[in-house]
Amino acid sequence: MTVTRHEPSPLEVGPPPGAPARRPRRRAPLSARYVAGRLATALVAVWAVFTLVFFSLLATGNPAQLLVAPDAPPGELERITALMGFDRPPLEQYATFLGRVVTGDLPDSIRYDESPLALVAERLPASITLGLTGLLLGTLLGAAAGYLGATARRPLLRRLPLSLLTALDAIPSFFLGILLIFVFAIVLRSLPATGGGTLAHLVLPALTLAVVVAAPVGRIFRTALLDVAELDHVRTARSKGIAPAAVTARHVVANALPPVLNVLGVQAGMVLGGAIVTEALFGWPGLGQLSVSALNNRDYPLVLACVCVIAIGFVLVNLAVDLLAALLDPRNRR
Amino acid sequence: MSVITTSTDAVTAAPARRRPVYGIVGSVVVVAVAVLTIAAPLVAPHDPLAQDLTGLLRPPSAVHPFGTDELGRDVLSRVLHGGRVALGVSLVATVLSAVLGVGLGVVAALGGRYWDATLGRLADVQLAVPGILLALVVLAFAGSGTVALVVVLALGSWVLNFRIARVHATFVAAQPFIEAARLAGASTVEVVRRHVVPALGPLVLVAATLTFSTVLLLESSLGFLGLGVQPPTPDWGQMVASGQAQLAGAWWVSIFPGAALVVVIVGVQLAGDRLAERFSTAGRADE
Repeated sequence: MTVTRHEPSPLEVGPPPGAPARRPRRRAPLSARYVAGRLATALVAVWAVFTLVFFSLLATGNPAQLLVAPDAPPGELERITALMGFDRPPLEQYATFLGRVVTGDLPDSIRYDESPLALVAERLPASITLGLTGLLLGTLLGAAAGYLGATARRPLLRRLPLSLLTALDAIPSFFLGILLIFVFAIVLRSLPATGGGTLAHLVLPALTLAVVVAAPVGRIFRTALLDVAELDHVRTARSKGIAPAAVTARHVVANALPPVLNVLGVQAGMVLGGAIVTEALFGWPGLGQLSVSALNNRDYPLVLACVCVIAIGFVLVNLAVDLLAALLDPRNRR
Repeated sequence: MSVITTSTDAVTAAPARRRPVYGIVGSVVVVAVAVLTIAAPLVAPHDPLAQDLTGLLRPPSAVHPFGTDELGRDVLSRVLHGGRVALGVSLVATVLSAVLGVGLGVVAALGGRYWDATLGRLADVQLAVPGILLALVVLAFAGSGTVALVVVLALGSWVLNFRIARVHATFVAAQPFIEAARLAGASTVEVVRRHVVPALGPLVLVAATLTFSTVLLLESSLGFLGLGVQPPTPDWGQMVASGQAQLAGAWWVSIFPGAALVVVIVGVQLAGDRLAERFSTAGRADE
């Protein structure tokens, strides 16, 4: 009896039979060190905002003056000062302040007589809706313009969308918003100028935010598409006979996306900052409008809560984008 | 064949450099606006603060080329005078931002690893705080004077200058002529003053055009929110905001100051692009 040995054909891929199935090597996609580093920067950023707020408060002299109603009885100022501990040494105040901010134990809003965090939480969904819509709309517009800029055969189609976005981007957000209101709400009477609640109210503010995102996304996407299209692996894919549409989708567009993500990270922050202006402009009932009206009413506990929440949101968005970018492209893991 | 390959030929065939005419147009616009705003008291047809309650919200005419606002003030005169404030504040803030950024950038590049790491972290943290938020906090709590405004604007924009200066100063410091200067007995301060900072000049100038746009944008946004230059002093952002309520009946109150803002921003960007090509730096910093 002869034992026939199994001869693996040279074309056969995979482990020889009988060998224990090789487990694919599993590694955490991101090193703990990288994630910890990003988290540390994020925490320091939030702490820096809180510290800045504290010293700005200290610079006003006695912050209790901001908390006391102008028509309060005499003695109220002293009472609040003692109550809030504004007569303590600065370092002790700083510790108390940080403790209050971290636990969310802020004094009640002066205007609404309510916990400022509750007010902020009430407004947060509207802000997130507007921000995400603007970001999504801007990404789609920018990606479309960038794709056309890289692929369209007609020179006009190739240049016009990107040039238009770049031109719109040169207009400050608040003025672009004014122009949009003028054209769509006043001349054409097709959309409401200000307010919130309905889908029609969302269009103009979202469009204003979208332009901020669309122009850089479009420019980067176009450049990335052109760069990737010249790479060897694309030529190989094409010479293997893969359908042109599949080459474009899987090999060109897919590899042109990571740079877009990086830009989105920067722009997501801009959208958050821009949302303050845009919400105030369009009367969108979100966090930005709340903080501006709180500023105008000198409602300092509310301003404090808004600033802290916006700062935390901004830092979280940046953190998420950084981690996502590192996940997609190891070159970002520095 | 994929459409993408066909288009690359066309793109590489396209001229890589923009024609200088854009840069010239940009520079002319910037100089013209600068001259007009500096000479505002001479060229403005009316007093920017003079109210005329018998002529509220008049449309553009020969007497008032840009019309009048809700208090009957001449919009053209207010746009000219408003430019003095908006551009002046932005210019001072840009210079401050450049000095701060270049100073810290040189320290980070030449001051050893400790300074480099510390300042780099500081820049990261600064970038993690949106400029407008920083401005809101400081201006809301610490008061909205011109000095506070300039400081806030500079703080919101120094990181770009810092990063550019840091990278380039590191590069310059590694050049043989720096070594030669050191061998000739030059101290670090002398090397920085005579060799490193002059070498940074062109780059900083290009970065300054970008910084100026950013700062002007922030300044006018703050003005729009009512936190920038306070009335009655005219300011472009603040004028756009005050005209918003009248947009339906009197578009000119908002549109003219806003248009002035756009003209300056586009002009500065075109001039900056031209400068960048002139010094053949590798693209603008945001791309």
